[in-house]
Amino acid sequence: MGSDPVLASLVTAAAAGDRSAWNAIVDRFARLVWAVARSFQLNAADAADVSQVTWLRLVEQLDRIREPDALGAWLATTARREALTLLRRRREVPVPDPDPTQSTGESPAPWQAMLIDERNRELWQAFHRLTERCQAVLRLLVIEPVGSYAAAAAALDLPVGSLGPTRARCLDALRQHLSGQAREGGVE
Amino acid sequence: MNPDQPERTAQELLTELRELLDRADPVPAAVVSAARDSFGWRDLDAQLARLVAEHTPAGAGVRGEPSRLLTYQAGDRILELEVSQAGQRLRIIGQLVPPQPARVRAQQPAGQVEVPADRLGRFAFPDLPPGPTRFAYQPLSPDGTAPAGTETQTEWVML
Repeated sequence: MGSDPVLASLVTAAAAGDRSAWNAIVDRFARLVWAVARSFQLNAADAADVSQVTWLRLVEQLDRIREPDALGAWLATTARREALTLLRRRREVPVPDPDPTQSTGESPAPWQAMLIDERNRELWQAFHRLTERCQAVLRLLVIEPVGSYAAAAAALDLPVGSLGPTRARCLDALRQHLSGQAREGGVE
Repeated sequence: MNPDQPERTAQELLTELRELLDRADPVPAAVVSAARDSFGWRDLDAQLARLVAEHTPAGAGVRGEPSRLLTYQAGDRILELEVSQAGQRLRIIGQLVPPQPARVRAQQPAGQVEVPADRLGRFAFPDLPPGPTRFAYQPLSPDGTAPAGTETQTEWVML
């Protein structure tokens, strides 16, 4: 990835106190930060906390950002660390989950209404048969426009070079689940 | 699935998956506005105290026992925090080093609470909700009446 002059000037302007520049940074990376939190299977409330503390950390560090191009990776790393802290504390001091169906944020009802398209539903079911790791990898790699390998690698704590092969393996698994569904459905 | 449908390419699969995830798990509007509002917590005047040590003591999770010990440092100033879980709430006991009276604030996105630190630098927040938090303290003169020195703020931490 080449350097991004727009991002660099947004960071400079935000560090100088420009709120609209800050909002533009948020709009650009909110999806990434959210996806990192979600990739740890956090529920919506925990993912919201992880997201918020990540952005507060960035506000605090704004005038120390030396490489704006690494901002996505910095946010991903920070969100990952906060998510892990939260997960570790949950293990030490479990908080009862008010609604177990919300544990991964995927209550079936809204999905059903949304996934009217048969093809979509098959893809969704196949996605959820993947390992958590593969779900996390694909979740992070599909994010645009900041779905850079650097940010995804930081979020997953993987070397950038291993992302390509990991992505290929997870896509293969996804295809296998899809064709498995096709076979199961094809006997009618 | 229609067996006649051609198999999707990797790019097609990823594109479909992205659209699906965008619809299935959009970033909640409240999360985006909280992120935007974070900018309001910018404070250029305070000195930043960094987290230099974090421990999970033996017995963590046992009722009433501290679950986390956090140490922050800014120059030669140290702030030590002991966090205990009380049901869904948190109890925090703190110590300023060097010991001195101060006004200490626990800041959270929803608001802040202020307590005094005594002349031995001890303070407590008996009842805080968990979530993103930072602590700010203004040292006071020995008689505890006038500000003495710059305010110090910890990094944000998830309590």
